[in-house]
This record gives sequence, C-alpha cells and structure tokens, in this order.
Amino acid sequence: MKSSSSFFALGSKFKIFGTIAHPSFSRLERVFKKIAASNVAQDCILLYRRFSTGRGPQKSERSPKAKPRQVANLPIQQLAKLRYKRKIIFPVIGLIFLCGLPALPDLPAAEKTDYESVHAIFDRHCMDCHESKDPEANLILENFESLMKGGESGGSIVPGKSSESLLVKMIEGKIEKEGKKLIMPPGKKKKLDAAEIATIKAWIDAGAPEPTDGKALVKELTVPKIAPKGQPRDSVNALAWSPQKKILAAARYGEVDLISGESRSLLRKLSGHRGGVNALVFSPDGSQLFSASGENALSGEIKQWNVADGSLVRTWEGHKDTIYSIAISPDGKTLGTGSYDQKIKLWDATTGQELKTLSGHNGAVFGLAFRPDGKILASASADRTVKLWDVAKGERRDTLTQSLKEVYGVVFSGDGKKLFAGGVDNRIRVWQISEAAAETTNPILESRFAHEGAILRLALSTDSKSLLSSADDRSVKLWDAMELKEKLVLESQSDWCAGLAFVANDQIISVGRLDGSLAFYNAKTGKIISTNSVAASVATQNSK
Amino acid sequence: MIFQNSGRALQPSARRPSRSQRRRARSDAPYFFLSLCLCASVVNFARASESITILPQKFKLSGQAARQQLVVETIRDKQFVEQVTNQIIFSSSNPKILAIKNGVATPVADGTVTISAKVGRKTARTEVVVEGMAKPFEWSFRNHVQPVLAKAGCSSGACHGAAAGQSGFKLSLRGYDDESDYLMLTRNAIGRRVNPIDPGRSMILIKPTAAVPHKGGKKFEVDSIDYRVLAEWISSGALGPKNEDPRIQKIEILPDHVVLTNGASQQLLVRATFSDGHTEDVTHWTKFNAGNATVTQVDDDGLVKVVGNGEGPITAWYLSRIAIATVTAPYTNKVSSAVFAKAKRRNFIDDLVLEKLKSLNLPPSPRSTDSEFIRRVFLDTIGVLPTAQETRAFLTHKSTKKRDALIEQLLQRPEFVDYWSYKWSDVLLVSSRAVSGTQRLKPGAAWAYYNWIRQNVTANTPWDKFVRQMVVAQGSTLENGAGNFYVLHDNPRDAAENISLAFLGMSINCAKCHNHPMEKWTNDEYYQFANLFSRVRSKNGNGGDGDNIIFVSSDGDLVQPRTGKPQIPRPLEGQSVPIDSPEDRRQAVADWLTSPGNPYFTRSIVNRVWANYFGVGLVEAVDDLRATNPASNEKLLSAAAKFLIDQKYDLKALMRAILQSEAYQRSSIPLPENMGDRRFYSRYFTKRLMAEVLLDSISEMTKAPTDFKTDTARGGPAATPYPTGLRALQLPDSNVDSYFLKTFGQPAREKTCDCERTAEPNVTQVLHIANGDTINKKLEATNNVLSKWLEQKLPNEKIIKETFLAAFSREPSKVEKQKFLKVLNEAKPADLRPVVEDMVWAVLSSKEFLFNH
Repeated sequence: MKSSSSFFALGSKFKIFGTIAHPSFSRLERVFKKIAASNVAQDCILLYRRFSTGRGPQKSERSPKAKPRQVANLPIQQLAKLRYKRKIIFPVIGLIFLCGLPALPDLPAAEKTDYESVHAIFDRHCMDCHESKDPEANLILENFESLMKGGESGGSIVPGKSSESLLVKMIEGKIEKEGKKLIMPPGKKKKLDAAEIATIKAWIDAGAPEPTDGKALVKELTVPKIAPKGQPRDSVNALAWSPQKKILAAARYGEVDLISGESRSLLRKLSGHRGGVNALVFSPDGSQLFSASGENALSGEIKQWNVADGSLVRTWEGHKDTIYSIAISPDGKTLGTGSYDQKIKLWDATTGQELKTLSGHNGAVFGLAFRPDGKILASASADRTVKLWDVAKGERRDTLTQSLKEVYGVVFSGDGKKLFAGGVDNRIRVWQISEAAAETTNPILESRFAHEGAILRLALSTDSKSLLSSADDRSVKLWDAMELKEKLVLESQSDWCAGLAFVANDQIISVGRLDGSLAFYNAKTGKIISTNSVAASVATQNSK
Repeated sequence: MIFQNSGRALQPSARRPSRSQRRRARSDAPYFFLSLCLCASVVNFARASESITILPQKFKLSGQAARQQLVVETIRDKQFVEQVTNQIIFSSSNPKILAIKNGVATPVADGTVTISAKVGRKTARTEVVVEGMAKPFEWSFRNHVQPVLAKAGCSSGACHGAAAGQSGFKLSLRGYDDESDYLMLTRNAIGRRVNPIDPGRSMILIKPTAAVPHKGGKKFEVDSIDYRVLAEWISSGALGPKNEDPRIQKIEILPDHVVLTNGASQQLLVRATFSDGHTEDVTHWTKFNAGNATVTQVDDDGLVKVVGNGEGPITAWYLSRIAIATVTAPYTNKVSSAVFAKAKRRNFIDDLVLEKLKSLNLPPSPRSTDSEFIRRVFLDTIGVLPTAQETRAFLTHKSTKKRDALIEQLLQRPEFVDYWSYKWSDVLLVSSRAVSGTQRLKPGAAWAYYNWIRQNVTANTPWDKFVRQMVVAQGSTLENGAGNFYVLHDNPRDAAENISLAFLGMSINCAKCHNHPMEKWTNDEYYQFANLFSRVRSKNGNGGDGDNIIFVSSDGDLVQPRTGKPQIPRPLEGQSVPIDSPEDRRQAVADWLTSPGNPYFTRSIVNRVWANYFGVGLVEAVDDLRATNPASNEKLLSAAAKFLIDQKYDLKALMRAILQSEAYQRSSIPLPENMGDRRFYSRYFTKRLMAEVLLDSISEMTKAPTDFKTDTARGGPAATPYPTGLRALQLPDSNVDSYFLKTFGQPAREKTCDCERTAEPNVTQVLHIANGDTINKKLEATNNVLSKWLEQKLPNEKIIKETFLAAFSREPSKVEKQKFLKVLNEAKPADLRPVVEDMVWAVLSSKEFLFNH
C-alpha cells in the first residue's frame, strides 16, 4: 500500500514487522534494552515521547497554547539510528581517539629509585586497605615480596615498564571497569600527586630493585602525650601460676607483677613492655616467664624473663598487632602466640627464632593451648571457631565450628583427650580429640549454657578435675571438669576477670580484674581469702 | 511521569540561576543607587519592614564546656529571609562573663550579659545567662562521647555500627545502646580500644586520626574538638553511662523555617535540651540530611546551600532525636498577589493549596476544559474511559453544576467498586502467585480475600471499620476472606510490619534489629508491637483447598532476642496490654489503629487517596511516612486528615472533596511560571495510565476484549480461564498471564509496597505499543469496532470523530480531521480496512491517549 502520505506508509510497515517476526527488529529491541539499562535512559524517554507524538513534547510544554494534538510519527528505526550514533558511537570513537593519542610528555624523572621511597608512598596512601589483614583485591603492599606478587588481577608491577604496570594504571586512573573509571586511592581519599607517581614510575622503570637492607621497616607510633588525671585503672589482663616456684604472675599495662604465692605480696615488677601485656606463660620448669604484649594495629612483642632474678633474657617482635594468647609446649621447646592480626606463630622458645606462621583464622586469636603430648595446638578465635593444628608440620588438622559467637578460651584436659572452649555465646563446649585430631574424628561431647554473659577465660586445675570460668556478667564459676557440673559460684566480681588461675596446689582460686584488683578465694568453699588492690601492690613495691 | 521528566530535561536549567542572578542584580541596583544619592532615611524607608536578629534569640550557657555559635538573620514580613555574613560586629556587655570570638560565644563566669550584633546601621541584641561555671566539668559518655562516634561515622551502618561490626569492633547503630558500647570500648578484647594509662595510644584516638592504618580513613584531626572530647573523657577515667545522667529531651533547628533565594547559603544551628533543663549547642555533632537535593544541599557543618526553587526539608539527627527545618526558595516569577486572591476556591483544599503556591510564587494553571475533565475524572475514579456518547452528553450539557453531578454519578458507578477493590487488593497482596515455589494463597482463598474487599467497597464501609475487621479476623479464611492476611503474614513480625506498612504507611522493619535510625521507633517498641500478634494461630479447615482456620491461642509470646524475654505487648503509641490477659491482643491493635488520636492511620489513608487522584502524594512515597520525610504541604495533610475523621472515615466524602476542588480540576498544561512544580499542585500532573486501565481502554476503544487466564508457570493447576469480557481491573488475583500488564508495571503483590507498581518507562513498552501483539491483534480482530464501522459503511468523517471522542473525549481539530480524511478518502474501498487500522493505531499510540492529563 503505497500511500502518498509517508505517515501511513510507515504505519503499515510497522504492522508487517509485527506479524512476521523480523530478525533485525528483535536485534533493535536488544539494543534498546541495553540503552535503557545504561545511563542514557533519558534518551529513551525522549524517544518514547517523540514517537508517540511526532511534534515532540517540548513545544507543547513551552507554550501553553500549542496543545499536543496532532498525531504524526517519525520512523522508530530512524530515530533509533540517530540516537545510537549520537550517544554511543561518537563517544566510543572519541575514546578510541583519546586512547590512541601519543603519550603525554613524561614528568621530570624522580631522583630516587629505591624501594624505600616507594614504600613510604604506599604507607601514606594505601595501607588502609592493602594491609595483609583483609587486603582489598588481595593486593598486599606491606613489603617488596607481596607487592611483586600482586593481587587477584595478577601482577601489579612489570619491572622496567611502568606504563604496563597495573599499579601505575590504577593510580593514574587509566582503568575502566563496567563503564566506570577506576582510580586509586578510591572515593574521597586523597590521590597521589605527580611527584609521588613519578617516584613510583622511576623505581619501576629502573627495574623495580629490591629493598637494599632486606629488612622489614619498623613502624613507630607517634601520638600526643596525654596525661591521665588521677590514678588510672591499671587492669590485670592475665594471670599465670608457677607451681614449682610458687609464684603468681599478673599481666598489666607495660609490665608484669610477680607475686608470692605464700604471702600474696608483690615480689617484683618486670617492666619495659610495649603496650598492654595480655598473655603470660611459665616454662614447664618454672624458671622462665614469657610475656606477650604489642602496639595495637602495628606489632606484637614477646619478652622472656628469668624468674629467679627478674632479669630480661630476650625481647623480640612478631605479628602485625597485639598478641592476645601464648602457650608453651610441655617440653618447653616451642612457644605459640596468637594475635589480633589473626595469625598464630610458633617460636623456638630457647632462641626466639620464628618457626612457623599458622594462617587460617579470620578473627583475632584469643586463646591457645598445647595438648600435653605437645603434638597438637588448639586455638580459639573471634571467627567463632576453634582450630586444631599439627605442631610439627604447621598444618591445620580440624576446625570446630559449633560455637555461635567469638571464642575466647581453650584448655586441654591432662590426658589430652578432651578440649574445653568458651566464648561469647555463654557456653562451655567439650570435644573429644582423637590421637590424630583429624577432621571428623573430634566429636563434640557437651555444650553447656554456663554464664549469663560472654565467657572470658577458662582455667583447668593441675589434676584436671576442676574447671574455672569467668564471664562478662562479672561471674566466676568452678566446675567439675568431668561432669561439667557447677560446683561453686564466686561472689559477683567488681569487674571483668581477665585473669584466672588455680594456685597453691589447686586449693586457691586467684582472679585478676580489669579494674586492677586481684583476689584469692578458697577453692573448696568459695570464700574470699584476700584482696590486693592496685594501691596495696604499689605500696608493697614502694616499701621494698 | 514520562511527560514530566523529559519536560524538565528539555528545560535549559543551567541557564536558570544566571537569569535569576541577573534579575537580582537588577533589583538591587536601585537600592545601591539610592543609598549613594539619597539620605539614609530613604534607604530605611525602602526596607522599612526589615530588621535583624541574633540566633538563638535567647539562650543560656551552662558549664565550662558550653559554647554557642551565633547567626545573624534578616527578618522581613516576620520571616527569616537571609543570613547576614558580612561585617558583623559582635560585642558582649561584659566580657568577664561571656566572650565572643569568631562568632562563637564562650562562658567566662556566672552572670547575665547582653550580646549585640551590629551590621551597618542595624543592631540586634539578646540576653544570655551564664551559669554553672563553678561546677567541675566532665564529658559524659552518653551525651558527648556517643555523639562524637555517631557524627564521625564510627557507629554508622557501613562501619562499626554494622550488625557484625568491623575488624572485631562493634558498636550499636548510631549509638543507641550505651551500656554495650561502653563495655565494647573499655573492656572488650582486654580494653583494647581505650588506654587509661597512656590515653594518647587509645585505638579510638589513633584509628580515626589515621595514625595507624584505618579502613574508614581519617575521621578527625588531633586538634579537633572531637579528639578533645574523646581524649579528655579517657584521661578523666573513661567513666561509663550513669543512671543520673541528664537525658536528651528534644532538639530544635534554628531557624526552623527560612525563605531564601536560589544560590543563597544559610548556617543552621541545632540546640539540644536535656532532662535537667540545660541546653547545648550540638550543631557540630548533628547529622544533617537534605530531603530534596534539587532544592537544597547541606554539608556536615549544617551549612545549607540553595540550589533550586521549591521547598527543601533539612533533617537534623542527634542522639536519636530528630528535628526538621524547611527552606523555602520561592520561584522567581513576577506574580501579582491578585492571582492568588482571585483564584477560585471550592473548599479547604483550595485554600491550603493556594496558600502554599503563594508562598512559592507559583501561579496556578487555569481550569481544565470539560473534555479534559471528563476523561480525567473517569480514569482517576473508575478506571475507564468515558464513551463517546457520555462525552457528547457532558460536553453539550449546559448546567454550571454538571461537574459535581458527574462526580456523584461516578462515585456510585459499579466500575468504582472494580477500581477501588483492585487498589486495595494491591495493598493487601491478594494473589495466588507462587513466591519462590510456594503459593501463599490458594486460588479459592485469593477469591475469598478479594470478595471480602469487594463487599466492603460496595458497601462503602468506613475505612476504620474495614481495617478493624481485618485486624481481628478469625475463622475460616474461605468464609471470612479477611483472615487471609494472617495466612500471608503468618508470624508476629510479618503481621506487625505489614499492618504498619499497609495502614500506617510506615516501615518499622529497621527496628527489628536496632533502633530505627530515621524514626523514633526503638527496638523495644518493635517487639512490644509484634508481640500483639504472637497468639494468632492457624490450622487447616475442612472447606477444601486453601481453607485455613484463624484462631487466637490463650498463650504464647514473642521473645525479644536482645534480652531473651518477651516484651509487654503494646501498640506503637497505645496502651500496653497485660501480658497475662487472655483476650485477643489484636483488639488493642485495632483500637489504637483506628482511634482518632492516632495521627499515622488517618494521614496514611488520606495520602493514599490523594496520590491516586493527584498523581503525587502529599508525602512521597505513600508507604514512606516518617518524621524525616515531611509532607509537601503539612497543613493540607493535617486538614484533610481532620476532614476524614469528621466524615467518619467515609472515603467517598474525601474523594468528593478532592474531585470538586479547583486544584484537581486545573489544566495539566503548565504555565511558564509553574513548569518547575512537581509537588505543590499548581496544575494537574499528568500520569501514564496504569497498566490495567491502559489495557482496558485499548480493549474498549477497539471493542476487542482481552482474554485472561491464570499464569500456570506461577503456581497452581491450570484454572478455568476468566470469562470473556472481564476487564483487567476486575481481576481478583495478580496471578495472571499477561505480557501487556507485566510490561506496563502491574504489581506482583508479593510485598506491601507501592513501589511494586511501576510507571517507569522502558523500551519494551515503546516497542510493545508500536509493534507488539496487543494493539495489532485487537485492530485486526474480525469482530471489533472497525469491522462494525466498515460493515455499516460509516462515513469516514464519522469514523474519525467517533475515534477521537472515545480516545480523547474531544472532537478532532480541523487540521487533524483534514489530514485523516485525506488518507481515508484516498484509500480504495478494498484497502480501507488497513488504513482505518493505521489511523486507530496512531491514536492508541499517541501520548494524548497513553496519559491521563
């Protein structure tokens, strides 16, 4: 039907398309869907309007007198082509053109081409997201090796070719992903300036040389010095008892108190720790004390002390955050530490040499315990799991996932067959651990609702018959370890008991609280024997 | 809304500010000239009604840490109209009592002073009392530390306020739980975050200042007041929340209403009042949010910038208290006040709409034509097009009261029942559609539910009675269809949330896990409310498929997970019910919901009805009523709610008032001056016909009915198809297999949300109208209206006329008629059918048809 009116000719053409499925038409629809999904949806709206009234809406809206009455049409294909060209093809051509442009003249080359200057730039801009703990895109910029290894998109550095290095493209904003330009650091974070980019490029173009001294760069924290008003709370963070020496060690901020088991008076202070001491362990013979602390978010620190004279044997650093747990193998040769950096490290207790790093936890490691045979290490973590590790191989044997919330403490029974753990879900759980501790061979025996609050610490008596637990509802309970039956509930505590230990042949229970006080209870009756306040212990020390 | 959006897109909006700037420059010029040439008194005469004032207008400074930022504001016609920022000379009558530096007043010693601000020849004074300077001062965890953490974003939902916290550090969302946050900061992980011995090394100081890597970035500087609050709190012993702490009572924004020109800036001040009577300047710790970013923007410090014309609400949040300020930026039209004075008013709606339009300088569009009105009122009220015959009768009718008469007829038409039954079925989710494999309602149950709604719409049951029936529904769900609500929402939380959404227009879901961040509802209140539904039970009935018996058990409670104990049942703002009372707790829900003292219930239904007719709710969206989302015309919403209460919840009375109002009867064609209006009803806002109405209209236009059948892919065995001739608006169930309805945004009725129905345009719609098989099949149908015309050999001119009257409720224009006639007349008799089809196709795909205008 060739009518003289082009409008009607068009109308019937459409109908032909409609009755026989026209392949080019369905393709057109796909294109339109794409456009609609992209940012040019506005154009589709325009198209819709143009299409439904040929005159276009703008005229009718601009002048109230001209009403959108007349019905006429523009061919949809034409419009589509037009739009398609204008909105998509032109920018694409533009982009190709831009990309094909000769590279801009390089900025004056930076003088330094050493790794240290590059690392300093990363430190300033990138470490919020590219630390080893939970790194974005799996790219860790902490050291030379991890930088060269790259992240989930592959290598970040192509030595000698800065323009081909992904890292350079990212900081220069040359990467596009899903239509969006990516630039690092992202969002509102400050971008690298030209000089910094030049430094990084120069180092890469010089072949990306290794750091000269090969040693990790030690971080120091500089903060304003703020003096506490009055006597600050000096919390007791952990307790450890040496049956051989009859000495109780109490961990505090930056130091450890050694307290006589008989007189319960302060023997000496072991000072000089960086940060709060959170974990203590005596060597099996009681002659040595290992204490662990750290600078939050920076590093962990371990000190070894001679108990007899209080002399410092060794200090070493490890971990990327404060250490929260420590344990020593029954032969006294291996030391394990767990940190807020989610890692466990094994050390040679006689030299302080690092043996292994056990990775796998996704939360801070708050509790550690060696099995009495020394072959298996159990760890309790904020990732809601307890893990069992093969000490010799440094491999994970099993993950116990029954806990509903963070797990804070673990202890092995004397025969090594039972493992106790407690944490934020208020429960004490007991597992039976097999010889090999392999997966599926460690069934849960019991799950006991133990406290009205998160369980903070567990301690087992030397005869394995009694278990102590403290919780954040300020309660401390004594349990029959075999039956997991409540034997005693101590009086409500003045603060959380982060320190918990059996002393004097399991006859006495000692607690150390976050308000700084220490207390001793009769393990049979639960009656209080004595309390050492902070002031008392300081007074004792002054009198010495 | 297609019409609206692109209308704006075509406006050269970028040019607008410069034009208004030019205009302002022009209007300022004479003053400048005058002040140069004439004496000062003339200048004063020119702005006689103008004065300045200090904000806050009267205040106290309590305690050593008190401070107050001062703002000088110009007042014209009793309204705040401009912040004075230049050359203000502040002075204190006694600097030994109060000092002012950089516009901030700080206390020195107890006493009373007068502070003054001098700007040119004008001076403003205010009296200030300084007190409590002898009292030792300590930052309070509850009232100072928590606001710092909230404002810096530490306790925000994206950071440590997330349910799982971040990196082991978890705070309650925006700090609603003081006790647990205090322990998290000072005790958790052996007191990791606060260092009492070396306060400067506290994590809550080194992380936000980025002294160590922090994923959240740098939040404040070491020399900031925020750092000082935290550092001093720690160094003073980091004391926890105390029972005797003064509690926040309310916050207020100054100024709470200001009229500004586009481009102007305004510093807002926020003052908090505590239970012990003292007030504090908390501007620095307030979270600000601009409700309408096209009119106003606001920065973190509370500095507002006007970027467009209209009204922009600014929300202030501090310690879970909310206040709202409104910025009015009138359009820069030259409109004489006579326009508003002379404008016709039918009822209270017109009074209040015009009052708002006047304040914004928006002239109303003229009255709609009879053609426009009849088409509009049919579509909005009963969802069908007026027939050519009805239109002809109306247009030729001479009575001045014919519009009122038409409204009355429509409110009594059977199609009214179809339309509103459908609408309420949307809200109440009447559907046998399977959601992820399960049919929540069997077809029989969906029918019973629908029939119950339909009976009530037919009887015009007052809305409060209608809702009450549903809330307390019991028995067989096939006999009492209302009970299906509890089949759909078969646990106390779902029932509570959906009652709130459907009848209060309010989402309380946030409060399920934590205090609502944008509302006053707390976690406890949520569980008090939800526990009212904890005893609703259902069992299988013997009425066959879909029969459930809803009954109320005499025991059972919903446990509040945070405490592990049930919460005393209580409707959100009502009286609590004794937990051991055996009676149906839902009676208390119904009593509270429908009591005239419940503002939310009435406002919600008023807003839903309003949005149906005006296209834009007084509150947008209709199920997003909350303190932080104010109505575009609060007075009007309150008045309409009061009207509905006075009319004993007779919805037809409210509809009548709306339909009769001049506001509703205005033309949809914008004046150049009211083009920018989207919220204030200066004209009728055009809207695309809703899916069902559009399909019905196409069927009616072609006289080719649509056959509907159940979507078997969506659950259930193949049901008998619906009878031929049933309109889309008569469908009882959203489980229908219709490509057209789906494409044009028919709601699935899966969740109580107006957002399920979409008016969003998309390309599929364009193509389906142009070339899909809905219109084309109807045009080609053998027994349609076209066949009839051709059989009857209707003259071409008559065909054109009938088509126009039926589609647009008007006669074709001369040009239209000429053009169409030419093509029709040129066609050979054998070719006439396709040409007529093309003509009707062109009409059906036109904007004038697709929209209600």
